[in-house]
Amino acid sequence: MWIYEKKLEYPVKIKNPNPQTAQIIISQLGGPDGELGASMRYLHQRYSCPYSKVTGILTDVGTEELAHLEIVAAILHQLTRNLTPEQIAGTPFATYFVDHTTGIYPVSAAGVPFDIKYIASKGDLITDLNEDLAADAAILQEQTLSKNRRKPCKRRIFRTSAKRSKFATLLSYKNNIKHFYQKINLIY
Amino acid sequence: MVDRYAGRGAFRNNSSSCSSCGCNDNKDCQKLKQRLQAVDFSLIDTVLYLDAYPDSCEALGYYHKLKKERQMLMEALSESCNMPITSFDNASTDSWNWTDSPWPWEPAAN
Repeated sequence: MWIYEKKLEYPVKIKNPNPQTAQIIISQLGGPDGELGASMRYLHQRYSCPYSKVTGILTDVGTEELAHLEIVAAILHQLTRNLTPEQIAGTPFATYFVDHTTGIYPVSAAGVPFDIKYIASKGDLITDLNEDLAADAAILQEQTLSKNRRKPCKRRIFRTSAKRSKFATLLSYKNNIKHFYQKINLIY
Repeated sequence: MVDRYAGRGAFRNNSSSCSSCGCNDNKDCQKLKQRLQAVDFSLIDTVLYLDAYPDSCEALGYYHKLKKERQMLMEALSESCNMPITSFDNASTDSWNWTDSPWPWEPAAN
């Protein structure tokens, strides 16, 4: 079970509202490689995982993704504070505003509502870890490409890289179960 | 049928532990966890009640009574049973016990 902690994993304090940036960042919330997908991916894959220590990683990484989901929502909330109609009209955010005003609704940058079809859970550890790696590769690419990164975003790139190397390490030993065990032991 | 828990026990026993623990299967620890589940269930409902009726002194008193017992149970589970309930509750300084006990969805945990 989960208990809510009334704090962000990393602080968010945005000086100037910017609906254009919000319309891009919202993909990190409800897009195909967003935090909602990431958290649902790990937290659903963990049940069929046959190794307790890997289950631990999926549980803890999935839990952290939920914390990221909140950080991204906080960024979006602060980017869309106290907007005037002039600041909204004519920006890419205007079409989102029609249906959701400044409410936080998980969609992609193109406005496609979140779809659980973005994730996979196949009951097979190697298959699922490969999917995790593919999803993280996409996220890492997007994060590295975006310019004018601010602190929370830079921190997320670091977090994604760390997670990615963890999954890669687990996977690189897939053909040698003995090494696979040893490597997992090393991680801890 | 594939026994999906077959590999787990062996793996758990192999886990590097510097101190003698292995009391996860202890019946007393299981009882402590069941008590924690009951206390938390009440605590969750009390919190929801207090969210709706923040001025209820009776509910606040009950909340504190439960909170105290919860703290006691959490400490007992992590320190005496090596069964940390959250990943921040690993009491041992020389072994990582977080992934040793069964996961909540496994029959062995219930």
